[in-house]
Amino acid sequence: MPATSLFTVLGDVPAQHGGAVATWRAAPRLDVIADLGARRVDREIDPAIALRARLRLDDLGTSSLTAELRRDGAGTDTWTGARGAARIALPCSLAVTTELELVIADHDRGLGRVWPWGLAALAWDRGGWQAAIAVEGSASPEDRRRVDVLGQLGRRWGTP
Amino acid sequence: MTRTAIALTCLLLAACAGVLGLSRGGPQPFPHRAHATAGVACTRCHAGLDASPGALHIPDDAACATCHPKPHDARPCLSCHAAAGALAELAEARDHLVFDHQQHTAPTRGDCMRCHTGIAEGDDHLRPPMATCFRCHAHDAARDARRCEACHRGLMETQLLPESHLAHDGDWMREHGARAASSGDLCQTCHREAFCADCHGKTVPALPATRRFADPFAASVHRAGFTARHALEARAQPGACATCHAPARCVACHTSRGITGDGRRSPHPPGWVGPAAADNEHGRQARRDPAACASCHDGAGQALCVGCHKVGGVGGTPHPPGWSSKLPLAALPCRLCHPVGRAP
Repeated sequence: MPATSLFTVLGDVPAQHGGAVATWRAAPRLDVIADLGARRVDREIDPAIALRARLRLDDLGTSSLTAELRRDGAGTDTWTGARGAARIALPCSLAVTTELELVIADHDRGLGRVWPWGLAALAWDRGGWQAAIAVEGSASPEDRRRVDVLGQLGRRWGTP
Repeated sequence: MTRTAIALTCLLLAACAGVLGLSRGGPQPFPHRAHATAGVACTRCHAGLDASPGALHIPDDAACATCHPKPHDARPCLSCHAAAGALAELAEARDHLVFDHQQHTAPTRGDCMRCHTGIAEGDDHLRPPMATCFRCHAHDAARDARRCEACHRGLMETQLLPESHLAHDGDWMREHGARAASSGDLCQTCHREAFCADCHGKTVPALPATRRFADPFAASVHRAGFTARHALEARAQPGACATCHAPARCVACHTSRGITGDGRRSPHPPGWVGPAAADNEHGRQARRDPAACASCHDGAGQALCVGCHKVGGVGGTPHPPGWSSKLPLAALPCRLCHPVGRAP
């Protein structure tokens, strides 16, 4: 920020975040991860917690399921979220994926409190070629309801 | 009640045992441990291990038949008695790892388990981790100098993920930028610059969440329904947005979507600004993230603030407790509120 800005006189309150991540392989194909922390902003301390589990449906994890619960935010901007996602590999290099998320804000600022988001996609990846088509639906502070159709066709050369 | 719960849990686990990987169907890891405890020497199956370098030394069906003369199936033994992908991984390691069993036979006196310690626990993960190499080979200097090619061939092509010496775990998505800025040469031991450009394009950033929308497991900063919660996240982590985005980004996006700037819709919630006794959330948020306010209200927009936050104004002082400044009052931004030459 320029030193000539009026906002320089307000100071700068940084956010501090501390915590620990614990990973537990509950079963050969099931990982449970707990991210437990706290965030301090402007003398207020709030929890920043994420609990997630990932289940691989095969040894290589090409098909997987995941679920996640979150509690995050600070002050009056705290929120609770849940997310689930799945990727199922199909024959012929196809895969179907779906992802759902629900965010519930603690405080209504006149823009709604419950914001769901979801995506369902069909992807194909073979020999450097990549294609995907997806339908995405959501409700957000910006749009009460919104549906997008996404398409992608790509080609890769070499390795990163 | 408790017994019912336990019984149901056991039933559920039994039903899901296959999915959880507790009971495995399909190809199984080769029972190395059972053979070792039965006293079968490793080189009896892996013949030529101590003589000819370069080969994979995978036993064929004939080698198995010397002890198991009546196979129970017509298919090749390793089609079932080898973990999925194990042979491919072995071939990959042979191509990209500078290693020769022959040279290690004499120093270890033929004791394979001196390195393959995983066999004590089971049949998975028999390939020794890099730490095992370091027990005898002092490669610390080479590692610190990023000279990995002494042992790893074509590291950039292998897509090898570091397991022990440089794990990309924790909050890596947020940390990787700072790490790359401080020790970019370390990144370059495995990644080419094009790898960075994959997400951080020179002209248009293409985040994994956008570019790989069909892969819900791709790590990305702005995953899933970020649009809905970006205001919450921005306020909970003051300054975090500015690590990647110029403040103009907020203005441009909000303006183009009619959220601010043209008077059609204010970005501020109810209770944002009011008389001194009202909520006046704007002061609290401004202290938390002044840069966010400045992204819209800086420049000529500052007059909006000064209208209330001036000497004798209803807004009172905007200075935080303990504020002091070495700037002369005639300098900006002091003179916006303070009459030049006179201390308030």
